[in-house]
Amino acid sequence: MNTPLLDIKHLSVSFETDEGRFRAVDDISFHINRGESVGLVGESGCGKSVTALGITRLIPSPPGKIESGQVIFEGNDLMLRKPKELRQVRGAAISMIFQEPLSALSPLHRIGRQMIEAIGFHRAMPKKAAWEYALSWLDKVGIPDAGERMFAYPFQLSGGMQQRVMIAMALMLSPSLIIADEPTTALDVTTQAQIFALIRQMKQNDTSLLLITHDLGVVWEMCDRVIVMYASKIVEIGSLEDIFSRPAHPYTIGLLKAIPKLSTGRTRLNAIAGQVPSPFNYPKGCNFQERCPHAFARCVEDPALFESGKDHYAACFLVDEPGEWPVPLENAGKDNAR
Amino acid sequence: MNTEPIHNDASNRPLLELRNLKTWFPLRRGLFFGKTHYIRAVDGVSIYLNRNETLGLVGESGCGKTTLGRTILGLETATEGDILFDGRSLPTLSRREMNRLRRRIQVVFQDPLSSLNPRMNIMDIVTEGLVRFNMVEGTRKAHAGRLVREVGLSEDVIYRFPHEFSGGQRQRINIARAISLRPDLIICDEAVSALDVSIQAQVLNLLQALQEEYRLSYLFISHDLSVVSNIADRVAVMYMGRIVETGPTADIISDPLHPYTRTLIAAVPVAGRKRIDEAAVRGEPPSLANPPDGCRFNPRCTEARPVCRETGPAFVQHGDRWVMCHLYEDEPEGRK
Repeated sequence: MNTPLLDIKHLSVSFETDEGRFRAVDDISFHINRGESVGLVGESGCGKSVTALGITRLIPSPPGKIESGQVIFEGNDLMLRKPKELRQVRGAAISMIFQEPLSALSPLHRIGRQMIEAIGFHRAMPKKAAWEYALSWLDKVGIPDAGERMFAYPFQLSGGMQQRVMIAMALMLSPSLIIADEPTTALDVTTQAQIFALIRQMKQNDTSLLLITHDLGVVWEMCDRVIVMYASKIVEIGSLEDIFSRPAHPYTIGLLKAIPKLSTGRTRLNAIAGQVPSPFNYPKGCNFQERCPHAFARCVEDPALFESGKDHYAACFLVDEPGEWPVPLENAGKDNAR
Repeated sequence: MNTEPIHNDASNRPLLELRNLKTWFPLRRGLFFGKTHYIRAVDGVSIYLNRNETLGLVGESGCGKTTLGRTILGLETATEGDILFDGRSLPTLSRREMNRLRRRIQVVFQDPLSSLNPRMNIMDIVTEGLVRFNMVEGTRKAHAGRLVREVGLSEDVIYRFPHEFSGGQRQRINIARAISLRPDLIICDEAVSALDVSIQAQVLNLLQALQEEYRLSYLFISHDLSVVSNIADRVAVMYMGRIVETGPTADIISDPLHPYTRTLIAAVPVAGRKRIDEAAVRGEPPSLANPPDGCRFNPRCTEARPVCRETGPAFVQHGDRWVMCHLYEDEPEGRK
């Protein structure tokens, strides 16, 4: 069967604030196949974390509200499920790894107890068997003295170790999909590298991964396909190679250029001018136009996702223009700041 | 005690010089049966920084780099050793003298928001130091306007409050405040780590532009070697309270000597490069209260030899670089 494991259609999420209601995620559609690792990339405020929470309906509401959309997981629309059914799905079929392990683990309970609680909720396993099972997973994720660690509180572990515990908990119930939101951002680069290796190893061939990050280096290490988000919308989707070798959307191009590479001394970096617009102040048409060095006349309309290559799409009119790129408008991407 | 070259001539002398600096924090007695243990956060650091130069200080969490920055600023008390700023020993200064000197050493911290008083508007924030040192030129409003323009913000921000701005803008405000007193040295402690990549690039460019214009020196502290390598002239690599390697950026990046430096470089994900080799990045930083015997890096070092577990290596010169590793001690040159 070639149906995707997860198929998100026209998902929109809004939030109510003192300044009014705004859309954090605007009409997002994408899918994840079995066994695939998909990176959801974007900077602050682009809506990637909200998308992740939206999939498992973990968005606090109020103030959040899922305005529309379908989240079809293994053939069933999660949007239509009752809370009790969703709880069966979360932690087992779909598991999550968050950025701050300390916020996901209870500080008041020992690790062993937390793991057993999770196992017991989803499986009918006698306590002793659950203990052994949890212990074996701590071993698998490389936690030394696992037997003793079962009795430890989360704060007694280093950040890297805490994250390994999260990974153990995320994997031990054989999920079909793991959603990892910035799993290594709070970790040192050497620990991060170890965690990458661990996730790659542990992920069985048909477990899918949705990896949410702002760091394109992480995407490079972990993903097969990439979705780039900007200011609540998807701006580009493609394979890892498409995104890194043939980026089509000016934002993706700018982002790749802005990444600091290992250099040999003072270097002027290629910044993207300006900053993300406030969701209360999105321009008419493409949300990126004010920062785009190629903005032209058509950009005041909403761009659709145009085909840039096989299974490679970008929400940019430049992709839809035949021949040479059109002449940009006069103020296109001017850096008013230094 | 091995140190990098010490210059005593005023015109050539480094702006900042640390000599065997140590900052230790005592642990509560009760934990260890009466014997006082210390967290040796900074444990014998000797580095220097010249005028108009950027020294990158790189290391992972817990290595002591932030404590080092705070000790230089006087936010922590040095346990041992010396801090020479423009030839003057900071720990020996009286409070009055130190307060006068503070004008010349400023700081930009990691979290753009917690560094800004939420109840002060931007004008008050960026001119607070100027008022303190009687340096306001014309009106505060005019001076503030000029300062925020220098960091790429428009003048109308001066009556607004920190919560109204994005992370990148807040950091620009922090920078405006830092340069307001025309300091000689700015310590940047993870100053861009909390910013998005595209904003990071803007702020790094801004810092470099300001450096040119005002002949600033930066001590740029960061865990991110990629960022550091784009802004620093020289790099010092720190591990468990000690500097393990220093040298010009180009050399450190293209020809790292110390195994830990090599590990750091190998761990950086680089698009287009082969995926990270896991064997190169083993182990976890051990406890600062209980450092391993011998070389502190030895439990994680792929090149460790028996001597590494017994004695700590000396900090030796290797060309125009310095490295603390037994692998290089057989060098005939530069051994102090």
